[in-house]
Amino acid sequence: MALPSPIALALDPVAAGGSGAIAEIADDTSPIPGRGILAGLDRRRSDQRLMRAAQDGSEEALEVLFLRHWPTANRAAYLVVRDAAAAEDIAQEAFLSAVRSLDRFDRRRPFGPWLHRIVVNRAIDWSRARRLRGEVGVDPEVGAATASGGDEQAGAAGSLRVLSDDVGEAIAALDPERRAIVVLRYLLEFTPGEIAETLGLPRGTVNSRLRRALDQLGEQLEEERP
Amino acid sequence: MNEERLGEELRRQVVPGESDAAERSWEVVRAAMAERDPALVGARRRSRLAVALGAMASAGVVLAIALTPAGAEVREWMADAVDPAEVRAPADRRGLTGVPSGGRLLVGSEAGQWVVDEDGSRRLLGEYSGAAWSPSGMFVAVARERELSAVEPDGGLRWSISAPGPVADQTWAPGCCRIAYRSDGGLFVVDGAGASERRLAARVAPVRPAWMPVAYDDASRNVLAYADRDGLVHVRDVDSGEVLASAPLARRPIALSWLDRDRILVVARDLVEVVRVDGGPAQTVYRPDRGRIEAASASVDGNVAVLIGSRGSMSGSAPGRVRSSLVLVKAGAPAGDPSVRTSRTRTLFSGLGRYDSPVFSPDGQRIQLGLRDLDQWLFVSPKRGVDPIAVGDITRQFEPGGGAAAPLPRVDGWCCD
Repeated sequence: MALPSPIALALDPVAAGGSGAIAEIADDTSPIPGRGILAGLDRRRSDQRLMRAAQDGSEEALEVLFLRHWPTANRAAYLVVRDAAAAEDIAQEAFLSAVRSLDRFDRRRPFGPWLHRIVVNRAIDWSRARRLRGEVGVDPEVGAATASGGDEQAGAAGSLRVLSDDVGEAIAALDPERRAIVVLRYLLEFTPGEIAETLGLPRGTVNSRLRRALDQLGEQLEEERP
Repeated sequence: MNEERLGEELRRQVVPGESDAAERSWEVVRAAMAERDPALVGARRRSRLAVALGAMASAGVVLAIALTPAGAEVREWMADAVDPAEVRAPADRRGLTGVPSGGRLLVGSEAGQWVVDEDGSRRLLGEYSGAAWSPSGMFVAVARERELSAVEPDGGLRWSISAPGPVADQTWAPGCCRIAYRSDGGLFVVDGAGASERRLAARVAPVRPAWMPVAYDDASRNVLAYADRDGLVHVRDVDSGEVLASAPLARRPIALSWLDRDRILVVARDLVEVVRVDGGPAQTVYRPDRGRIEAASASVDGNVAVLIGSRGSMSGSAPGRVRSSLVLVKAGAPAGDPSVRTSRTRTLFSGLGRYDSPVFSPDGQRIQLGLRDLDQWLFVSPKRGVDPIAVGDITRQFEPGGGAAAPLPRVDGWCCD
């Protein structure tokens, strides 16, 4: 089995041996510069301080924010749209929005939830547009990875994918709006009130959609169980 | 499944190709950060760490000046070169009193964009974030956030257009009448009068497109090479829109330049390769032994100067641990001459310190390098036996009233033959 790449270690909290923490890596040959040093800074500097530094023009601070929030943003987008390329675009565009808004950003607001709101809303928009075009949800990268025995990262986390495949399929069977609510609640840990605010929905609607999504997930997983 | 388990499973979901996606996106995000209007960032641009390092560097300069003859610190640094035989102590000028090997410079600083004449005189064009010369130096294409403008070298505005996003990497066609630029993730072209702007391609890689030199095309077309985000380089007639050729790339590029009508030199982080757009095999012509390629500049004669940053040179490192090298890569055989396959490389310079991107002079006789830690520009010759020229006190000249925390002004363009 191929060893996970340094970037895979940095971005995959499971492969990195932590739950969301960015690994301490000192390999300067990595594509993202200064990750090892920045990883050290990562634990000591709050998002608020990093935003302040980024507003002052610090690329390092932006880099730490990127490393800290990219994996979740990309994963959240992917879980909603089920298309890796689209997820990349959505997460990237959210970060670009952050860069464009740096000078106007209210530092009292937490950066992560702000970014994730953009991600999830764009992911819903993308899914709706795709549905209107009548496109079928196919992720060519998944197919390619499976056919070739898995890409580097999938290979590194192969056993985890087996564990998660059922859940992944069950999530995929939900409509995008329900997926978004599940992602907001259980991946991003928004409260129902925050979800309602993010999606512009009444809180009761959020609760009912969440309930129905969980019921559907439960049924789906039950059906798949041998 | 309970809700806690569902959260765990969601966090364990692996996104296919996540690591590559992160790399690609970071490059785009970093480029967007670099494209921010410097005026918005102001004098606070450097992080506190960078300011501290800058102060250390400044202190080093002061000490060196106090304890040794002027320029001795440069000589010590030069003595650290890989090929010391070809490097002699430079005459350290304080202030830019002329452009070595002639021509005019476009210089970007926090104050804005400057034009520097051959005699060293300079004037501020305006608060722009990037600039490129027209082929004959009659105009300058300047960018300010979403605005692309053509101005005369004395600052007079000729035209201005709005782009869908921040403008970057504007570059003027050698035939004079087209400007290509990146914006909103795509590649755009506008004619020299500021009309007929159009999106040429979407999802392009964050790398400056390269116009084919006029001499390489018998039909005198406006032909552009650019890289997309799917790992392909395309050659396109921008007027007809026809894609003339496409070729796969081994890596994501950081620079493109034409070698001749059939070959493009592609610089990536870990290699330089010659890509044939006529369907022939690509050839790797250089790989750094260690470190990675940070930037590159191509000369008119097909050479390319690549800047190598070694271990410890990444952002946040202390300046004392940084080693950078400037390597000249001659791409080898001309087209149709298979008897010469080996490219030649030569380290022009190597030492401690952090450099900015190299820029070739129009005649290929000098390469300008910014040395951030010493507030200097170096003009290195690709020829053996020609002394480098070091010019100090750069920031003060382009930051009137600015503090020491301002970033080193950069050369955005060097014109003309």
